[in-house]
Amino acid sequence: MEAIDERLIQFVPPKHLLIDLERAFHRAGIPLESVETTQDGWLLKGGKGENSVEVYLSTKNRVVPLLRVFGPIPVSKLKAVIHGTEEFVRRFKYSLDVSLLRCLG
Amino acid sequence: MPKGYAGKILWVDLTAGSWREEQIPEGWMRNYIGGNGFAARILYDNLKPGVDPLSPENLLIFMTGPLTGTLFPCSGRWAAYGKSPLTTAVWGEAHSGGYWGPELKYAGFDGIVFTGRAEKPVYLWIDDGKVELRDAGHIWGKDCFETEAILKEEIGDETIRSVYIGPAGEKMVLQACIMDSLYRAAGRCGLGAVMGSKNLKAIACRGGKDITVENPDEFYRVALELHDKIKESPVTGNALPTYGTNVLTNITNEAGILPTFNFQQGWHPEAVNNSGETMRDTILVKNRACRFCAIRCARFCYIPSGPYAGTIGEGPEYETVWAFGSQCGVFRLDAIHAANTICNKYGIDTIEVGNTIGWAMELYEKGILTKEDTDGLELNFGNHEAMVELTRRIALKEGKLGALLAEGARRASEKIGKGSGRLFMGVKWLGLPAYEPRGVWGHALGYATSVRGGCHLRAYMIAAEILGIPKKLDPLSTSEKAQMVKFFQDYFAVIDSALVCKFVSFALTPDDFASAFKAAMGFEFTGDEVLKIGDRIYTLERMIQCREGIRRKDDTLPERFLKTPAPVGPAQGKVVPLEEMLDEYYRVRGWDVQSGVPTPEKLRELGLEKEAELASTLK
Repeated sequence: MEAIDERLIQFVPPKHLLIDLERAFHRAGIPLESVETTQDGWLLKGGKGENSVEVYLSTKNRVVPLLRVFGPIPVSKLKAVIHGTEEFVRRFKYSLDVSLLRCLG
Repeated sequence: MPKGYAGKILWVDLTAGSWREEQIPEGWMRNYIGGNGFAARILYDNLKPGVDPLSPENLLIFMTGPLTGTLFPCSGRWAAYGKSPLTTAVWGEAHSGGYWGPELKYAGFDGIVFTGRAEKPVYLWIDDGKVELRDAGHIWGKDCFETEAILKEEIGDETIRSVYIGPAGEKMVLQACIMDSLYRAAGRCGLGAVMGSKNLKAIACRGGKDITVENPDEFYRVALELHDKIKESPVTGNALPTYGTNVLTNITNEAGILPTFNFQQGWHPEAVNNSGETMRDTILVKNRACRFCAIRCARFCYIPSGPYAGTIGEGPEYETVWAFGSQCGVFRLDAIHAANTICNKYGIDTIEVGNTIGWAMELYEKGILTKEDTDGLELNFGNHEAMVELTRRIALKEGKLGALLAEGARRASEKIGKGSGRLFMGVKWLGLPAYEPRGVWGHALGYATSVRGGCHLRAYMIAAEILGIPKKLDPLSTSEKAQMVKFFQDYFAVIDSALVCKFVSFALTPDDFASAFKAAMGFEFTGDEVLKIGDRIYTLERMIQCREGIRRKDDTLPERFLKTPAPVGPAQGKVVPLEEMLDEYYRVRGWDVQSGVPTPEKLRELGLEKEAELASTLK
C-alpha cells in the first residue's frame, strides 16, 4: 500500500528536523540511503525489502501573522510518501511522531 | 548504583522529630527516573487512601531528578508532592525553578519525604549531609521575604538555599504555595497548606558534594549540543529572553483564547496593555534566570509611579498577567504586578487566586455575592483596587470574603450556594489557567484529563494548536487530539521526573533525553522507552486517583465550555466536543472507556502488577 503523511511544522530549524528524520528512518527499521538537496529543501530516501519511504522537506523563514512577535520563523512542510505493508506504514508514521516530538511547558 | 543521583532519600518523621536515610531502590531509577516517578511510587505505596490532606497522615514529598543540578540545560528545578487539600484530584504536584533543587542534591539527597506533624513550628537544616530539625518559632508569622533573610542571617551564610512557606501556608490557606529564592513558587494544588499543617516552615540546604555522571565526556558533549539547540530555537533563544512568558498575551488574545471576565469570552481590545511587549517597554528592569538556565525568561520589574509606586520584584509571568489581568477585567500592569508581589510575599498561587477572584467578581456582578458578603468591596470586573486588596485578604485569611475564598472554591461554593460552583472555572476544583478551552479543543482535553486537575502543564496543546509544534493542528477539530495529548502527557511525565525545565522541550525531543539519560545514568535508553516510562508514571499517578474514586465522570470541564457557545473570536459559536475526544483518549491510553480506569492488561504491559490487581476490582 501507499500512504502519505503531510505535516506543517513551525519554529524548528531545518538542521534539527534533518537529524530527527534520520532518527525516524532508523527507528522504523530502514536505512537512510540518501539525502539530496533540492531547489527548495531536501529529499530523503530509504528502503528495505518491500518497504520504502521518500520524505520531502522544505523550509522557509517567514512571518506568521498570529505569531508576528517572533519575527520570521522557520515554517517547514514535510511530506512522507510511504510504500509497504500496512504494519510498516503504521510503524513509520509512529516513528515520525516520536522522532519529531517537541512541545513547550 | 546508576550515576546522576545523590543516591538517598531522607525520610523525616515530624511527629517523632526523627529521620532516616534510605537508598533509592535501583529498579526505580530505570523505571521511574526521579521526580514525579519517585513521588508517584512513594505515594502509591505509602499514602493511605481516604486520609485528610491536612492531617499528619498525609505525606509531603520534595524531589529532584537525575539531571537536576547537572550541566543539562535548565536543570535548576525541584517539585513538591502530596495529597492535595485544594482539589478533588487527590494527586497534588507543584514544580518550581529557582536555586534550591540542585542544592538539595549537593547536600546529599535526591528527595525528602515528610510524615507526621511537628508539635511546634520547625525548620529542617541540611548542611552537606548533616540533618537537623530546628525551632522555627521566631520565623513563624514572617513573610517569605523576611524568612529568606532571617535564615541566611541565622545560618551566617548568604549562599544557603531555602524553600519556605509564608503566612498563607501557616494559616493553611488552600491556595498556599512553597517559595524558593523570593520569587519562584511551587504554586499549584495547595501544597503550601500541607507544609503549614505539618508545622514545617522551611527547608534550608548547603552542600558541597559532587553529582557524578556515568560518561562525563559524552555527557558534556550531549549537554553542549542541547544548549546549542536551545540557543538556536526562535522561542528559547530569542522570544523568551526578550519578552518572557508574557510573549503570549497578544497571541492568545488574537487567537480568541485569552480568558476574559472569568472565561466568559476569549478576547478583549485592551489586552495589549498587559502584553509582554508593553511590559518590556514600561516596567521591565532586567531579565533574571533560575540556576543553570541560559534562557533567562524571568522579568524583574519596578513600578515607578501611580497607586502602586515602589512595587518591585520578579514577575509577573504570563499566567499571572492573565489571572490578575483579563480574568478580572484589569488591563494595567502596575496593579497586576502589585497583586503578584503580594502573592510572592505571603506565599500564594497567582493562578489559583486570580482565577478565584475572577469567579467572585462574576458572582458579585450576578448578585450571588453582595457588598455585605464582600466586606464592602465593590467587586466589579475591572476594579483593580478591589482585586489587589482581595488578594491580600485571601493570603491572610482576613475578613469575611478573604477567609471564605481562602478555603478554596470547592468549600466556598458549598457555603455560598445559589449555583455558584457551576461558575467556577476549574477541573477537579483546580482553577484553570490562561487558555480559553472553547478555542483550543485539544487543550480542553488536556485540562479534562490532567492528573492534577485543571492544568496546562501536563499536555500543553497550545504548542500544536497555536504555535505549530511538533505539527500544526486545527484548534477547532477533534482530529489527532487524543493521541497528541497522550504524547505530551507521557513526555512531560518524564521531563518532570528528570526534573528540568519544560521549556527545553521546545527544542529537545525524547531521543535527546534518551542520549542525556544514557550519558548520565549509564542505562541504554531510546526515545520510545522514554515515552513508555512516561506512560508508566502517568498511569501510576492515575491509579492514585482511581483508588480514591476518580473516574471518567470527573474528567470533565465546566458547563460553560460544554453548553454555552463562545461569544467572540475564531471559536465564536463553538463549544468543546469533549465526550468524543474522551472516548478516543481512553482508547489510546489503554484505559477502560466507560470508567476511565487503566485496564489490568495495560498496567501489566507497563510492569505495574500490583496496580493491575487493584484495577481489576475497580469499576
